[in-house]
Amino acid sequence: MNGVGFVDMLLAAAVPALAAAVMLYRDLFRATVVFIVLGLTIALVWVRLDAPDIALAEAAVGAGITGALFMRALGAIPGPPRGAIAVDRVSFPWLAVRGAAVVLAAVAALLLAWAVLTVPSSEPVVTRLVRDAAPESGVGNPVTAVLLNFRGYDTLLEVGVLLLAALGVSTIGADRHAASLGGTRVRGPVILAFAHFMLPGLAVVAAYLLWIGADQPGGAFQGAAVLAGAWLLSAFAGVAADVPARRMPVLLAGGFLLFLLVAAGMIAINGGLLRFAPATAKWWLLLIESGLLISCAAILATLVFRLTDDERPEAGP
Amino acid sequence: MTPALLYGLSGALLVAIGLAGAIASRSLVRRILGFNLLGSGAFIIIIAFARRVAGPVPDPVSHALVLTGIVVTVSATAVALALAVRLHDDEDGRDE
Repeated sequence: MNGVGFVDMLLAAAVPALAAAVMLYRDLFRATVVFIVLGLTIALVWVRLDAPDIALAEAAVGAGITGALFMRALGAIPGPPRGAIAVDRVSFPWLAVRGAAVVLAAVAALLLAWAVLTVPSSEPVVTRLVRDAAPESGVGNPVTAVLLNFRGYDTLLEVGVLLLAALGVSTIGADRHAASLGGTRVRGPVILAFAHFMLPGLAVVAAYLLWIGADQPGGAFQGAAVLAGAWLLSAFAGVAADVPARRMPVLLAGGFLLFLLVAAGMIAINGGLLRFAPATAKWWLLLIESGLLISCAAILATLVFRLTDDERPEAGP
Repeated sequence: MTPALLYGLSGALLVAIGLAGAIASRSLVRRILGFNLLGSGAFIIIIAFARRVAGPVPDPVSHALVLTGIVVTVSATAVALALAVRLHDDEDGRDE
């Protein structure tokens, strides 16, 4: 990365412009579509900033899964009918709130711009520490080394957060009856043919991302997002294998429990939580990531499916 | 002006737009959209900071931090949207 190119200027201008469109479009469906476009644009920004791991995660999770979540929520919240604004909202001082928000945002932008312009360009100590210790991590990709080995603790708790979110969404979202993953069908021959064509490829891509993540951009979370996408596609096409309700907890929590088990086992083997021996680290990390791939895919798919019920009583013809 | 600087400023604008939207929107869904924009802006600034050093490999710790952040953001977004949908359902039920 050398000077500022035309692509950089285009992307740097497109990101705030698209963001403004997301906030200003009256129609929430349009806003969500622009939001997904913005996610993919930001994925290109990650590529330009030499962050290919994040680019993959942004495209698959940030734009893909998050976009699906918003689309599904909008299906359940069909927007207020015109002129039906509640009385308390009219009396609320929206003009004052908007003015204050704009002032606050302007101050935040100026402070952040000042921080960006004045940050010292010396290499942080931690960068050197990671580079020196990289050969002992068992993997060649420094980002994977940090995620699963040096700061494995963070990732363990991150999977815990995902699990809690799946639990929370299941509790809040589906109170009438437990919707199975095969509940949502999109009818028509195109999606069926598309699913048959795409599903084997998506499964291979997910496994490839997991394996290549050891030495190249990729990893368990990126693979899990692709696998979750495959799961959603197969459910919409009506070809998903129905997972019995009593098996779902095993599928959701299995990756976290396996991670926890390996983390605790390392106390017995190497004398420290998540302390791996350099010779065998690669295989332990691969075991953890394999569990995470399946469980995180199940969790991400669950987040989308359980967000709202499919058989909505008020949705008449 | 380096690309990292340019994207950092772009990220600062993204934070501002997301912040304003998250506070001033009437729709809960748009507030959650704003919250997501705010997060993305913060991530861009962090990675722009990581890229300010002209070296072969950018700081992998920041990258791991942002990867974790993206996954946590999608979790928070899902729970927030589930709450918004439930709130809408319950308000509907009360009106009828």
